[in-house]
Formats: sequence, structure tokens, C-alpha cells
Amino acid sequence: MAVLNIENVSKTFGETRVLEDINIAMAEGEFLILVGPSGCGKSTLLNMIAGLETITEGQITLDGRSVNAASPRERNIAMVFQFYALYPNMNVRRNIEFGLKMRGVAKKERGATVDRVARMLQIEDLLDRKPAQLSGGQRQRVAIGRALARDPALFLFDEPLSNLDAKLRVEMRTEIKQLHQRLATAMVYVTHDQIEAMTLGDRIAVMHAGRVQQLGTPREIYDDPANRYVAGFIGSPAMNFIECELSGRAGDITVCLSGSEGESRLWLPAATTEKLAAHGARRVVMGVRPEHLVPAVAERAGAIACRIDVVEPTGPDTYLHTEINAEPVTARCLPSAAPVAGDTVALAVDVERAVFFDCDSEARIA
Amino acid sequence: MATRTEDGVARGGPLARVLVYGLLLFAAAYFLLPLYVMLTTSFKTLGQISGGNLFALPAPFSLTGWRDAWSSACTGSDCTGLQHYFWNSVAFTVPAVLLSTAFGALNGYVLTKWRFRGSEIVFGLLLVGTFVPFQMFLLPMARVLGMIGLDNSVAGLTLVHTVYGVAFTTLFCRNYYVAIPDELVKAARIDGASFISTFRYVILPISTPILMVCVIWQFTQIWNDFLFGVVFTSGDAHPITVALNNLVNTSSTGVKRYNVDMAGAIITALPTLVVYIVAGRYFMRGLTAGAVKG
Repeated sequence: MAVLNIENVSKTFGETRVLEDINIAMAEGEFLILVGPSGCGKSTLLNMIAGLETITEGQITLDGRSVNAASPRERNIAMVFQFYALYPNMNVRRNIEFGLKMRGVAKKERGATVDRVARMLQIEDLLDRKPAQLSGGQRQRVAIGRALARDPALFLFDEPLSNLDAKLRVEMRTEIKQLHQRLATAMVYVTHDQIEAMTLGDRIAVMHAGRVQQLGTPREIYDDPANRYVAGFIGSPAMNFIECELSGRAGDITVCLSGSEGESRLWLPAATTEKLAAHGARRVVMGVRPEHLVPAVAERAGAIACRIDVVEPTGPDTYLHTEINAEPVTARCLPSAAPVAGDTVALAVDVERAVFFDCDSEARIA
Repeated sequence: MATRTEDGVARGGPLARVLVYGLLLFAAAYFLLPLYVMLTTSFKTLGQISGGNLFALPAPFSLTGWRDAWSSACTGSDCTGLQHYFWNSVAFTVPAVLLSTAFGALNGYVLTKWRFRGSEIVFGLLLVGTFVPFQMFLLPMARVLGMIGLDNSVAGLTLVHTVYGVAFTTLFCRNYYVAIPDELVKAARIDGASFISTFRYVILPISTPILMVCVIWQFTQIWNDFLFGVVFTSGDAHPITVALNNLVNTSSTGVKRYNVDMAGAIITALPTLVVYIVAGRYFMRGLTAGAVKG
């Protein structure tokens, strides 16, 4: 049975439609990510799950029970906020037990719960401190502790790491993942950071302009993006988009790519050509991730000669910036084989992994 | 002659220093001298006062002025001093301060954290209340008090001051609560706290500075009010400010008893002074807190 079921949910603020026909079903113990740029409606959707925002249309069910009219108190959920939202007048202990107190749990039981949670998060020595005396990371740990204390059916996280510095963010990310593996409770996690989305999620819902653009596992989202938006949003450095002309007929379609120092004709794999033929368009956008655009091993047919404008070493990889079909692209190479800026390099495209989008609708073709 | 200092702020030389401190001392003396005269005069005997030197210290030191002002000076035909009126003022000031502060805090909480359709309009209307002058209140309020049977009573004054003060306390509290992150209230709701328990456990405990601002402001306004007191009450129900006026203007013997007048004025002013001293350190903190919190 689905822990959380969002069916045909829409939300309007006055005249503005912020969410459009959202459908997500979440399995027991699943870690679901809502990812998208600011203003895409992901936080609004989370607030609707929490009961902090009303639902304009559609239905949300928790544990098989419709919660459209239920207050946050009546939903078996806990939430961690971006700015921690710890009660500044209470010490850590009282912050953690507040939810239990409001639900009439006896003092002795509350104490036991606080101790259990504090041990789990290793914040036992902070229990008597006020939030103002804690560092950012400690505060977020306490905020997570407050959510844990209630032992809810569903955890909601609203960009919990975006206020931490880069190093701490990576550490806490791992901790949250470990926590999820240990608790096996369903979690909905909102973020605008695609790396957090990829690393944490069992499934990711990529949101944009009030709609779910794609819902799938991190691998599906990465390898098989539903449209150009998803392809461009997920992945760093971003996928290269090259507008190009197709020639030939079904079963024998080629694409012409020209670098600054020469052009090349690539034969596309059969599965791709079938879909492209069925679609019929001659001008399409080809999407190639940087790791699928690499210096050709030897003088190989189909390699595109490009003058490298900028070389960016990042450590494990070195990225090369150049142009194909007059559009800026990023290629990846091993640091040991990196050219210098100004060199001409023959770049090979892994056509098996290339994806194609419609020029106008940006929908995936192949 | 300006020189660079450690903190990088250029300051003047010794001459500028002397000028600045001289000016400050002059200003302080300017405001403190009347108080000095009041205090010394209140402890003098009538004989010494009529003897002449305004700035002389009291000799002999006498408490007659204070005793008379408190318990036997005449305010009109009644000769029992200010004590009765002092307690009158306490009787309506304390509840009016507490009620208007409580309503202001609740209003501010609702207007910022539980917004409803039209809440901005409600706030706008309340804001207008802060611009309405006292005088415009008099006639309609007199009618209302008469209709509900609270005219010429301490309860009536309590009501008037509470109603008039809510506009101000709402403005103060609303501006303070606007700076408190909404996430705090959301977290409390998720934790299962109701409208009231969120206020009670989360908002109220962090409101001390602004509540102090409300208390000081309201206490000063209400205790010092003369107009409402003189219009809405008469005789026995007068507040101390009106009684002080009557005390100063009543002289059975034709001799002005300045020691009694001064003592009466100090007695009248003392409670506001005490409130400032007790709650004052929160006052500045409260007025600026909203501005610096993120």
C-alpha cells in the first residue's frame, strides 16, 4: 500500500496556477526527492502534504486515508525546515519533546524518547543548550531529532541542507541517507540541488513550472530524460545540446556535426533512427552528456576536429570547452591526456548514449 | 586636528571633547534643574519657601508637604489628599495596560502568522486608529459609556484606554512578529500545537522585549492621561492627574502651598518613572530588535 498518494492535485493562489495535475504514489520506506528551480512549486507541494497549505483540486492520501481536510496535527508526519525553525526559547531537550508534549505524551515517556533520539544523532551533550548556542550543523541535527521523536509514518524535508556550508552539507547528506537506511521510513525531500537529488533519492520527481516533468529513479532520470528540461537540469556539467540536421531515411539516418576545424557525419543506431523517422522532423536537438563527448582514441571515423577554447581541470576529470555546430559544448577527458587551450582535438560522440529532442516542444524524440 | 583612532573613526581633539561634554552637561542640567527644584521644594517648610532662595537645600528638612499631599490636602471640596485618586489611577491603569497589551499581542500574532483574507485591510484600519486624536474620541465615547452604563466609573476608563491603546499595541506587536520566521509557526503546527498553544509556548516566550515596549508606552499614556479622566469621570472617580490639577488650584487659605503642590506632582509622576526604570532596559532593545533580526 502506498504511504503517500497524490492524485490529480492542483493548487492556485488567486489567479496564479502554481501546481498542475500532480500524480505521485510513494511506496513504504521510499526516499522521494522533489527537485526543481525556485518557484517550481516543490515547496508548495510539500506544504500541502504537511497540511500547511490547502489543496485546490485533487486528493492526497496518507496511509490510505484522505487528508485533504486534516490539520497538520492529524497527519502522521514530521517536517524538517530549511531555517531549522527551532524554538529559540527552549533548550534542545524541550525542542525535541515539544511535539510529544503537544500530543499529551507523559513526561517519563518523553524523557526516554529524547534520550533515544539524542543517542541516535549523537547530540546527548547538547540537550541543555539553547538553539542560539549551537552551530548550523548542530541546529539541523536537533531539527532532525525533533522530527524523529514523533516516529511518524512520513518525514518531510524542506531544503534542510541549503543553509549549511559546502563541506557540512556533504556530511549531513550522508547522515540523512544513513538515517533513512536505518529507519526505513518514507521520506519526501525537497531540494533545488540536483546532486542532493541524485545521491539521496530512490526516486526523483523533477518539477518545473508547476508540473512534474519526470518521475523516476536517478538512473532513469539521468540516462533517459523525458524532455530537454530534465536533461539540462540534472547532471553537472550540464548536458550539451546541439541543434543539427538529419539526412537519410529510416534505418539509415545520419547527422552532420561540424567543429571549428572540420566536420563529420555520424551514423545513428537503429533504435534511434526508427524513432527519429517516425517523428519525421529534419531539424532536431541532439543531447550529449560531457562524458559521452571525449577525445577520440585513434584517428576514428566520425571524430570531429575542434579547437579547444578553455581547459578546466577539476581533479578527477578535465573538461574541455569548444563549439560544435556553433553551439558551446563541454567535453570530458582524463587529466593525463588533457590538451592545452588552443590545441585541436578530435572529439568522438557516443551515439549510443545520445538523445534527441524536438526543437520546439523540447519533448524527447529518441 | 582630526586624528585616526584605533577603530578608524576620526575624532576631534581635546577642544572638541570639551565642547561636546560641555554641551551634554548643559543639556542634562537644563532637564534636571526643574526636578531638583521640585524635590527640594517638596521637602521645605512654607516658611523657607516664602523666604526666597529657589535653589537652597531644605532646612529644616520637612515631610509635611508629602504627608499633606498624600492624605489631607484639599482637591476641591474633598480634603483627603491624593491617596484615593492614586488608587483610582492604579485601578484602571493596570488592567487597561494588561488588556491592551494582551490584545495587541494576539492581534499582531493573527495579523502576521494566521493571515486571513482581508487581514491587511484590518491592519490598515487599526493603523488609522493610531492617527485618531484623543479629542475625536470624546463625544462618541461618552455616548457609548452612557449607553452601556459605565459612565463616571473606573471600569469605563479601563474600557476607553484599552480600546484606544489596542491600535498602538497591535502596531508594535505586528511589526515585531513580522520579523519572526513563519517557519517557527509551521513547525509548531506540525508538532501538533493549536492556535493558542503556538502562541503560548512559541510566540509569547520570545515576545518579552516588545511586551515591555507596549507596557511602558501604554502605562505612560494611560497614567498620564488627563483628558479622558476629566471628561468621563467626576468627583470620586477622578484619576490622579485630574486630582493633582484640582489640588494645585484649590487653596482654602489663599496661600499657595508649593511644598504640597510639588510633592503631589512627584507622587503623580513616580509610577511612570518606576515603570521606566524597571522595564526600560527592554525598551530600547524592543524598539530595535525587529530591525536587526533576520
